[in-house]
Formats: sequence, structure tokens, C-alpha cells
Amino acid sequence: MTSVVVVEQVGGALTEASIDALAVAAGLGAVVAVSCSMLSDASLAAIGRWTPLALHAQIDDTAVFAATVAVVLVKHDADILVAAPSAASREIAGRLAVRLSLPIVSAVSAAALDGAGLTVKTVADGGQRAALVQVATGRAVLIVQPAAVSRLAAAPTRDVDPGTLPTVITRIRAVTVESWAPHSEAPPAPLDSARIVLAGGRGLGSAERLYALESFARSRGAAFGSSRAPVEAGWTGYNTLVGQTGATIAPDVYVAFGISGAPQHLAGFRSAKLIVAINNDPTAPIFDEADVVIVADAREVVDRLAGQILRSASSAATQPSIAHFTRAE
Amino acid sequence: MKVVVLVKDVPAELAQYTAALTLDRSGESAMSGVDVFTVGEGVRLAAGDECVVVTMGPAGAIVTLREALMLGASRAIHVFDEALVGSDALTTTRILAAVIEREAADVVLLGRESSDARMGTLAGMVAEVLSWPLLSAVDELSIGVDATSLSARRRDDYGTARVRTTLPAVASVAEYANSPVEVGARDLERGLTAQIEVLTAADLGVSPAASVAAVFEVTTVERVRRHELFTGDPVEYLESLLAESAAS
Repeated sequence: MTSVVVVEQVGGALTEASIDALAVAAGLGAVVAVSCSMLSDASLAAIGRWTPLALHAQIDDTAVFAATVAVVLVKHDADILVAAPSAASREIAGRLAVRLSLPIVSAVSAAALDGAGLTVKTVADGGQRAALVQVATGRAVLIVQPAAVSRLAAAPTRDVDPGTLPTVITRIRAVTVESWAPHSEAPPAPLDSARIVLAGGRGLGSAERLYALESFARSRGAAFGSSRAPVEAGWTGYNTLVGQTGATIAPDVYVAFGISGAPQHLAGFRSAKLIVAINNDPTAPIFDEADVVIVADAREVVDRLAGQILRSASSAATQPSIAHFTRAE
Repeated sequence: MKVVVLVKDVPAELAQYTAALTLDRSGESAMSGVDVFTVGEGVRLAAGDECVVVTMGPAGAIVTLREALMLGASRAIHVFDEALVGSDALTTTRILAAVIEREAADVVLLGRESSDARMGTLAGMVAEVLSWPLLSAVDELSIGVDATSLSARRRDDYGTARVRTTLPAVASVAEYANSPVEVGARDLERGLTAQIEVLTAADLGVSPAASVAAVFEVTTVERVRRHELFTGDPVEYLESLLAESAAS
């Protein structure tokens, strides 16, 4: 069984979600990695841990790339396409599903082939459930759920000598990218695949303090997230929103600063391995979901983290007061 | 500019499954989260011309169409057919594409992803069936001055792109593409009383196909939270937690 994996590069490196896609495909048999930008040495080394086969070319139009990937699938007699959940990869997944009449399974954390065909494990309902999906035909498009994939099978890297993607034309009118600008500051850790996420809510009280938390997260290589209230107040952008209508994430560590814990928000990070909640209201619903409960003023905690206060014996007076707290049954 | 907006009616609460492991759609439903912004963009881009909202779904999906009408959509079409229950994504796509062709739309808008399934692949599928270009996950949509092109902004984790294509085209709309408008008394009444056109698969000339991918087991992920009360210095604790996680 051969799979084709759409890999993506940003700043000359494979995205974490692309590596997740390679990991899912590697468990199913042979893998051909395809890229619509020329693969860097670093990317080829990362691909080499999973497969020696890669094809690349500079293809700017997503519809043309989708048509190209369809040709690669047919040429390599591949039955499965695996992709990351970026906007471009989802477009490719959708176009290919139509072109090749394939079902799409999304939020995939693992896949296996057995007598019944292809069995896919998915993350459902914001991580509150896991669903097993069977594809009797064994042919499908799979979109991975970042950070939910086990990458244990990674082997030492092999040399990858990339081939060139075939030239394919489509009758679909072109989409032109007229400009592209990276975010003005150093790129933040992507929310979808970050291992550590620091998130702020209404309890931080101001856009400035939320930004202070974001800067602190950035300085530590952690991703920054937000609940709905600060986004609606215009304190931060929608791309930081964690929850039902924002990102659904499964980091190793999720720290909630001044977030009360509305159900829509909880749905976004329930799969986190460790949840730490800081809130001065001991009855905040977020504490029901937390592993570590810290009853303290999140504003003071952020101010101290951001201020990099040098701790000394005399700093004890500036510590937030910790209330004695017993969880209500 | 004739605009068709595809909206989705989703369960209002956490989805329940039937004994056959299909989604139980008998409960309360609501418009999918991002669609309020999508309808807003559709009404704006139509600029006085028609903005037609379309959904395929159970009888209850009518509440979502009425909400879209209240938000300013001119007409609503409900594809409602028992024969379509449990049909695959390809059938859904063919149904919606048939409505789009029947309406002779210049622009088709839909949400970046639905708030229940969150697949985000329907836009690519619809665009491929129509052989149209797609601007995916965009906001700041605008029609070119000569009314032959569509431009928009796409922001992701890494940067911001300006993208452009020729009409007719599909665009999937990101959250917060606009500020939701307050519904006036006239729109409220029109939304509640307007006639909604109902179509079947046969009306559209599409024969439903069953999905080849089937859910056969759903398990609840039990995560036992420790609820451990920490009474030391939070800053010290967070610093050590960050150092530990970065090292692992």
C-alpha cells in the first residue's frame, strides 16, 4: 500500500503538522512525499526519517498542485493521500476527493490496514471522544490532527534524492498571490502544534496585559492562545482563539490565565495532557477541568512573569496571596 | 453580484450518536459558528443584488435558514430529502453544486469549517465540481471595480497574503470577517415569515450514494483531572514547568 503525503515548508523547514502526516502514512506502507515548493536540505533530512521518496516543484496555484498530486497518486498506484490541516492542504484534499472519488477522513490520529480495509482513528468533539472509522475500499484522503499523532516510529534519516513533480495543467482559472508578508515579529509558535500553550482570558483585564502574556509565551517558545472574550473585546486577533469556533488543540501543557471556562472554550483544549488554571474565583468552572488549581490573581502572575522580577528574599511581599481552597463536590 | 452562501445547521450541544453510530439530529440545532460572518459577507458583496442562502439538512435546519434571512439574505433554499440521510460528502457536494449552477451565482461563500465536523474540505470539493477557483480561509473580501474579480486577505500562523482570482469563484470565509449587525424589526419579521424553497435530490438530478467510510466505534476519552490545589508561588511553579517541558 502506497501513500502520498503533502508536506509544507515554512522558512525552509517542514511544519510540525507535515511530520505528523508523514508519521501517519509511514505506518501504512511506502510513502511518497510531495511539496509545492523546492525542499530544503533540512526538510529532506526530516523526510528521510520516514521515506526516501520525495517529489517537488515550485507550484504557486493550489488547484494546479491538487491536479498534480492526483497524477502522482495514479502514477504511484497510491490509494491514500495524507495531508496537514492547513487551508491549502484542505483545498487539495477536497479537490482530490472529487477528482478521484475518495472519502475524506479528518482529525486523524492514527491509521492501520487490516482485513477489513483501512481503519482510521480520529479525534472527535474537541478531543472528548475518539471515533474509529472504517473505509472498506482502503482508499481515502486523510487529514491529520496535529499533536495527536504518535511519532514513535521515526528512524535514522536516509538520503532523499528528490525528483521533480510532473507538469500538469488544469482548466481552473488561477488564484494569484499578490503579496505575502510574514507577521512583523518573530513567528509565534503555531497554536495547532505547540507543546506548551499559555492562554489568557477576560480576567487579565486589559489588552496590554494579554499582550504581555503573549510576549512572554513567545520568549519561551510557547504558543499563545485566548478565550472568546478578549477576541470579542478586540484585545487580540481571532487567530489566537481556542475553542469551538477557533483552534482545537492538544498540547502537553495548557496554562489558563484568568479564564473562567465557558463550555465553548473548554472544547478547544480538553485533550491537553496537563491543564493548569489560574483564577481568583475559586468557583470558576475551569477548575473542574484542571490538573493543577491555582487560586490567585492571574493579573499579578502575568505582571511578574512578564516583568522578569528578580526574585530575592524581600520579593516575598509581592507574591500573590494564595487562598485556601477546597474543591466543591 | 449574485451571491450564494452555503450555511450549515449543526447540533446546538455536543453531538449525540444514534445506535447505528450516525449523528443524532433530533435535538436542538443552530447555525454553525463561522456562518454568521459568511452570511454578513454575502449580503455585503451582493450589494443590492440577490444573496441566496442554501443548506442541505434535516427538517430542523430551517432555523438556520431563518437566521440567515434575519441577517439580510434575500432568499433561502432548503435541500431536504429523506433519501439524502447518511449520504457521503461527494453527494452533498454534487447537491450544493447543482443548486449553485441553477442559481447562476457569481460568488459562492461558505464558512472556513463547520463548528461540528470541522473538516474544512467542502469548499475545495465544491470548487472542484464547478471547476472554479477557490480563495480559502479569507477575510476582507472585495469585488474588483470591473466586477470580474474577487480579492481577499488570508492570515495564518506565519503571515498575511493578499489573494485574487477571477469570477465566478468560491471563497471560504474566516471567523471575524466582519462585525455582526444588529437585526432590525423588519428583518426579524421577514426572517420568520419568508417562504423557504424546498428541493429534493431528484429536483436537482443527483442520485445519492452512501458513504464508503463508516464510523464503527465511538469512545469517550476519559481524562481524569487531578484537581490538585497548588499553594506555593505560581511564578516559580510556572517557570519550572516551562523549563521542564522545554527540556523533554
